[in-house]
Amino acid sequence: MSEPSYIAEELQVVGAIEGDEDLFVAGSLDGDVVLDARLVVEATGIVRGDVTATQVVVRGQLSGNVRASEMIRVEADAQLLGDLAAPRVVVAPGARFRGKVSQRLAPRPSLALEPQAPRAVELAVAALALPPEAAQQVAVEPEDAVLVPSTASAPFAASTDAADTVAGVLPAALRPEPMAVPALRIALPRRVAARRRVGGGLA
Amino acid sequence: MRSDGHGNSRLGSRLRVRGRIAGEGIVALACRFEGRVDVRGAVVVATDGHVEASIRADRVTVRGSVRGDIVGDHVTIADGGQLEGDVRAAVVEIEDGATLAGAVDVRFDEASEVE
Repeated sequence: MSEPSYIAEELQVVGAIEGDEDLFVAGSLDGDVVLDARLVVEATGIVRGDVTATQVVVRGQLSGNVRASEMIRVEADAQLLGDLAAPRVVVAPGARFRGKVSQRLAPRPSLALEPQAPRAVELAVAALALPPEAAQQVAVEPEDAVLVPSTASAPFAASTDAADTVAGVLPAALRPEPMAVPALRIALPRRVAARRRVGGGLA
Repeated sequence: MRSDGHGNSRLGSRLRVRGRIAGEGIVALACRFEGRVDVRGAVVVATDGHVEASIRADRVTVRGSVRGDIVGDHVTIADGGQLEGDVRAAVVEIEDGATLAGAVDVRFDEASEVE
């Protein structure tokens, strides 16, 4: 098997790329990408354009809307400006991200991302090193940045004015370690319609 | 994780790329490419590569097929390589088994270095 496709740090590609093999970008790429495979934007990589792929991993910078049929992972130190649509979306602590998140993936990849507001924003479990079950237990209310636990076992509710610091409202039991929590910053667009994923929560 | 960068870029045979490639390093094109390539370093059109582009690089090796003009210091049309276009370079190498349809201009002022 040959090496994967790789755009090295010193290289600039301007144009459209499509195909069905994994592509790693450590250089710069201006243009849309449509892959039936993975796109990885390396730490030095800069991608400006809309991306459609099975999986998208961002360690560097990406400006554009991202649609993945499987998952999108925005790693720490990544910088992402655009809307994300995928069944699984993970944003690591330390990542900079502005955009909408939709986990209701349209059945056809060709459908436009707009205009439906996401029903819910699921918090990245991996970002906090929580057990996978925790993903189903935590929902972010974009409008007021309130965390709502789905189980009565850990009842809590809090909100922040800044709507960007989720860490402070996590129950102590869910914090893996003190260091990790303050690093999580998720900026949520206020215009995203707030929907409560779980019943019960706040009065 | 990848750590074998070394300025080596590669666009594989299952990609189609339309646009412009610029920069430096070694660029291997096994994909279908349409556009323009301007690289300080080497461009290799791999056996799978189908390139419709003008290519400018220090070192150009054609093992696949190229339609377009090539400008470089050292251009090789390798065995099995096909070029439909003109070549301008200080050194031009056409291997046995290569196919070339176009004009070749080996610059005489630098040709003495080649002997």
